[in-house]
Amino acid sequence: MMRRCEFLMHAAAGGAAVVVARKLGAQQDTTRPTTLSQEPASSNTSNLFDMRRSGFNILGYLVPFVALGAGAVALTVVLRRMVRSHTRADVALPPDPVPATDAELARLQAAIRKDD
Amino acid sequence: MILVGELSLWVALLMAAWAAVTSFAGGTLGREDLIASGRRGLYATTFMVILASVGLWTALLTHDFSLEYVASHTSANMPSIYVFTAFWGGQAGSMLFWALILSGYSSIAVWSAREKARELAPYACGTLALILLFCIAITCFKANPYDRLAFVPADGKGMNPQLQNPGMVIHPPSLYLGYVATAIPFAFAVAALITRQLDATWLRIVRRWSLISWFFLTVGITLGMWWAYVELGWSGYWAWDSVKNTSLLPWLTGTAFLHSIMLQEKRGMLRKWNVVLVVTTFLLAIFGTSITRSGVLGSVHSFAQSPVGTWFATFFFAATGLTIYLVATRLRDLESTAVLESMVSREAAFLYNNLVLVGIAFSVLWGTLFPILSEWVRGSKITVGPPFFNTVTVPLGLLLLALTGIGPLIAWRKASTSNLKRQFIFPVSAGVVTGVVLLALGMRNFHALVAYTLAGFVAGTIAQEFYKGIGARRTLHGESLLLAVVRLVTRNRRRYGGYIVHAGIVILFSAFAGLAFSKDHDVSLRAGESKELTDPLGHRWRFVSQGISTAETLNRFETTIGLEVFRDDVRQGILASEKRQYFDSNKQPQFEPSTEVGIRTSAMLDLYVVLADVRDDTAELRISFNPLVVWVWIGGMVMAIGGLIVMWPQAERRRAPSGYVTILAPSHELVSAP
Repeated sequence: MMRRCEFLMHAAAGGAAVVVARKLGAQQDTTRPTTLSQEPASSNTSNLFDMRRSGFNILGYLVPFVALGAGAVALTVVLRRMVRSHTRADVALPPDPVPATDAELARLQAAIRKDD
Repeated sequence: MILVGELSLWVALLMAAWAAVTSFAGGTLGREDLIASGRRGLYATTFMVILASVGLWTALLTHDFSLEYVASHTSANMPSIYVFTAFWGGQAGSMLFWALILSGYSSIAVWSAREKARELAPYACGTLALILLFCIAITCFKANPYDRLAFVPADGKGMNPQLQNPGMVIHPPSLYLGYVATAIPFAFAVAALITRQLDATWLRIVRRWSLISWFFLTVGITLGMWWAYVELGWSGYWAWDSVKNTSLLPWLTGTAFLHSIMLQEKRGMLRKWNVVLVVTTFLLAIFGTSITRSGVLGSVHSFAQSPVGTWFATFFFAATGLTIYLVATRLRDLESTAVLESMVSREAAFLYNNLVLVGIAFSVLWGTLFPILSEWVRGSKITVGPPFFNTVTVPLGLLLLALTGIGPLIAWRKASTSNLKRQFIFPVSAGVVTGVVLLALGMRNFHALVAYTLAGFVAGTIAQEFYKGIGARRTLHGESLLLAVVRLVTRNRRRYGGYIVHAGIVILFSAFAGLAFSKDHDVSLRAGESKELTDPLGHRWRFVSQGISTAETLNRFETTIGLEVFRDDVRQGILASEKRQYFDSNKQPQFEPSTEVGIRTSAMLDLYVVLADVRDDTAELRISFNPLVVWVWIGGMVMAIGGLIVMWPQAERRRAPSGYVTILAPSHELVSAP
């Protein structure tokens, strides 16, 4: 029992308090906990949301959208070019029909139905 | 057995080197004897790695604490199942596990391709042997699980309590199976580039292995979310942790590849892009491992940090350089054989889908690397958490959800206006009705409303596709509804398995949107005291403390709070949450105390109780109401089932490419034709 009490004290006074504080945050009610992905705050560590969205930080938010926008524009330009080059090119004539007897056609259609 | 295992590891190193050299030499010189020798070398490597693994498992299960790895990750009083899983619970063991999976995969891939892809097999075998050589070399020189201690401790340190969870029995192996499977498509891509044999053969092999990788990553990521939810006790399942992020990256690019490969198969398009995606998927798996194991980035997976990151980084840059060279010198061989005919076509929709998937991958990578970049530029590390990732990825995720519904509705090559109207009218109506109904019911969260509207739209698309397919089968073959469904799916596994995956995506996004309505409450309760709370659905909950109890089990002390739970005055039962303090066989405490969450799950809502602290008989609790969480696991399972259906082997049917049409006509019509 004594040892159990020691553990509980350890849990309450030591590591547990740190873990709980980190996991649950100090905020009251209806707030999300601080994240586990955030490293413990130190003198040279700060959270992106705590800092003003200016200077280098703004890059963090803008770059993904700028990259995706640039990608979308580039893709659209390439696709439009491809479509234009296709419509300009001579459109191949449809292939000549392959001669077939009625019996052959019926056999093929039956085979297709069977295949389905 | 332990000594045999240790020696096997070194023999495996030599065998892998032999397999790499002889395979490349055999392929280059066209010598069948060398090719066969390389292949046998790979099989021998696999056998040796299996022996090495059995040796380590023997050491773990017999508690041989003379091995540093066994002493560092297990203790005599740990449950056997976690002693077994300790194999991949630490750095050195996980590297050996990586080698075990890779060698098994490689042997199967090379064996099955030895006849079907004779030209590619030697180079693929050589590439895989090289990757295997790298893994085994790390295991031998940098993270050897057979390293011995100068003395034999009486007991080991035990395992991190967060890893002593049933989820960790399956989650890491699934992720490893997914990660490592990306090496096979990479090896065959390298082989195809070297030999310039970029035809349908390599594509078939690559597609199959990409599906295997995708399947296991899906299962692994879902299990990882479940583990985080039940074990970490922060009331969520995805915290954008750097290790989790890096598991998402190859999944995203792999998903992009599984869509774009259809364009190459059907239309001969995107040959360069597909090679780039295959290579990128593998490199992202390596890159993720490199940055997370080097310790450069912080993570809840801190047990995975070590100097092997430098080795991975070196390997990453070497592999990147090699593949850039190969792709650059083979651009002419990668020219597409078809062009896009219309912007309004399924091809175009797939390309935009690829753009969004790669865009999300880039955003996740950017956010994960931003701390390093900010440290380089400004000298201070800016940590990037969920606020950043949610801001950036939620809009992109919604765009992706929309494209999931749009793609299947547009015809290949060129869609006509009438076709578009016919195809879109039902799904769009389904989406609009969903949105309007939710708005009328009082939902005001913008992102959630958009997500559910789009989910309704995509569900409409899937329902319409199934309805049409089933209807066609019933008309043509007179089948019953059930038989028509079964045959529709089994005879078109790729298409309808894919729709089942999309259904899983709809379920997942609907569950993600539910998080917008979650509520947390911090509560202090003494024995006998009660607290009333209201959940997001308007139900009244009452929690009556049954007091705090303590207990000692095999390797831990448990401090437990019991809560009697009532919903709208109807008793729901007792919910318990624990704080655990693990100890070794000398009863000395190990690790920080961990939390066992009390969870009561229902279809609409999870009740989530965390015992945060105990002070003078008062329990400090966090009680959360998390809507729709169970649908995250169901969505993941549906996706995995869809993936299984898609990858289940099916006899290839000979079919003319859609670009060429043979018109059959009766001979008398030909005579009369002008």
